[in-house]
Amino acid sequence: MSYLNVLKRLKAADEVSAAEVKAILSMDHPSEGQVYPHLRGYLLSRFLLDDSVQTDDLKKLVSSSISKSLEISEGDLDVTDLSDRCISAPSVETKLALAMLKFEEALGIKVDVMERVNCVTVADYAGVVSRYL
Amino acid sequence: MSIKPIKDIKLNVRPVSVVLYHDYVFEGPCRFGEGPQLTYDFDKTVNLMMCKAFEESLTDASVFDPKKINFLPHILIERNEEFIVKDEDMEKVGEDIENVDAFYIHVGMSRTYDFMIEMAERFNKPVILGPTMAIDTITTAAIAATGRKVYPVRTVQDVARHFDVLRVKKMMNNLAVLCAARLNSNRSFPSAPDGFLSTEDVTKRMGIRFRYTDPHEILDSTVPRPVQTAYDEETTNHTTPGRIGLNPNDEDMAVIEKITDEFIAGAAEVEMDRELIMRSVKAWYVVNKFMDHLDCNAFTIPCPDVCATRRLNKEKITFCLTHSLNQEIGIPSACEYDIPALVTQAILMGFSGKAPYMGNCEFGNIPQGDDPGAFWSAMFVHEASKNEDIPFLQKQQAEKGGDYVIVTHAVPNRKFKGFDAENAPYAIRSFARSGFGATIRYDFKQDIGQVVTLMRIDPLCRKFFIAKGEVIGGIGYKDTNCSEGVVVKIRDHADFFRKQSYFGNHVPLVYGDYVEELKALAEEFDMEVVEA
Repeated sequence: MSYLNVLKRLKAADEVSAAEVKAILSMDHPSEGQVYPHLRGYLLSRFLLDDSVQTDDLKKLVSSSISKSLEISEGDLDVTDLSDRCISAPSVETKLALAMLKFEEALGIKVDVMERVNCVTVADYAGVVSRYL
Repeated sequence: MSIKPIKDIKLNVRPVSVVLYHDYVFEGPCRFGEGPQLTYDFDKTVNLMMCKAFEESLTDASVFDPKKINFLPHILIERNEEFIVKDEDMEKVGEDIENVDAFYIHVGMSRTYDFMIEMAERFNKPVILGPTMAIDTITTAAIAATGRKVYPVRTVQDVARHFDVLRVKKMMNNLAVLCAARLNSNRSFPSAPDGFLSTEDVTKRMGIRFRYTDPHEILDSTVPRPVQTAYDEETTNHTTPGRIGLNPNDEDMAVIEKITDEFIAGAAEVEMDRELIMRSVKAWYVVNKFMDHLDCNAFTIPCPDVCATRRLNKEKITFCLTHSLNQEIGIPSACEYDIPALVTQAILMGFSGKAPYMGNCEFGNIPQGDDPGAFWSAMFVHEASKNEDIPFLQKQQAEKGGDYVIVTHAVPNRKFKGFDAENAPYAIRSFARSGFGATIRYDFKQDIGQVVTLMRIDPLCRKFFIAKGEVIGGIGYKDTNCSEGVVVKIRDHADFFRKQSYFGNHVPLVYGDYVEELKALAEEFDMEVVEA
């Protein structure tokens, strides 16, 4: 993919994720079910994934995203996940945490750390987020 | 009975996560990023996600066998960028420390080296760092320099392998050998003078304890005594008059009879009288009562030294079946008072989870043609051995080429494939040509092609002799006496013989390839490896 196409793709992703956040904020005390499709849309756009990705597992979504961008298999990701921060943090956890923190920041909420960490699926996270809205 | 077989020993591992959250938002030479990446929330989220993944990895039974490893509750140590080692955190890590065999440390995001180094120094327990993404060598080098044990790893499989070595080391530290000594206490001069020169050295190096009893007391105790009265010589044993002995009472005899009948019923062939088989079962049972009484979990007794007393002949007992049945339940048990062979058995069963075999070691290349040579002709007398086994082995050797070793003794067992496996098919025949001394006969031909690991420890307890081979056949299934064994293809029998000559005769073996594990254990005990 050319550099220009990458920039276009990132811009489009920004627009989609902003729209998903806006949709959530337009609702008054949205339920888990109401948050879920927009949260999923937000994460897919942030991770540059399309609707063909079936999994609802948060870490698997991130793995798919990283392995796709590096053009390696998800299995290979386990053995090639090298820290770029000199502090031993794996890419999957780093990317997932950043996505969650940015999502919460956009919504103007701050989820309890343990609640965030215990989310395994998008649905889990939608449930937690809905309680803060 | 409350004997504690070493096979049931687990390694108690305390998982510890040491993580760091920055209290302040700032960037500098050891911290970089932007936006949320520099927040306390980000540090904590990522670290706790990693801790959760670490904790989940402990339950992966395909890596960490719950039968071998007991993970204690996971301890989380959280700190900030002041790099302070707090006493209260050390107290958490060190709680109930006498029940901790090793630390398994998950290194979270950021710099926590100093805490791990102090942990290793304070508690002097082996430290295994979980695989991380970067620069583990900082911590391993620093801990090793303090003289503490630390194990570098690249994968969780490496972690499991180190745990296995530490577990077998713990087994040795929990091994208490009941030695029924007669003419000497550390080695038997008439049959195993290649035993340890000093059992004290073995205790010092491996932590193994040795306790002693008298074979005559054991043999006296094989006589059933339904009622014994203290101070009464009539109802008590000759060697301990007036003292209540460990002889089987009526309840014990009922158990012995039941075990005997089950042993007979499970056999494919039985060529002994029930009464004579029961004598051997009774000897095993009484030996177990002695081990229980003396808090032991391994056993050895000399053959020639006791044979010479004529009491084995009088009681119609040999201890072959005792050794076989002990090995099946994870109790190292060696023929001929061969303590190095016993310790080797313990090590092999520790790594493999299978019962070992031991025997005399001869070079098994059989001359081709009608005359198989003096050794084979004298050793194997049954027609099936002469007319079927020997020609079969000659054919195998002609086809496969290479060098062979034969390991022979009448102490096979039914658990070569694992303590939890079904009993293998077996026959019962006597040791003595006259019909006494029950032995298990195992047809090693059923295992052709399987890999075995052979090992022995030298008389000074400074070296491991290790070899790997492939079963090409067996001999003596139909025979009596010690004329039973397995023929193993090895790399080079001249090399094997030259090296074995400095270790001794009996070479225990176990099914499977455990060469690398044995080398790692040798390193742990600061012992040299001699590989053939």
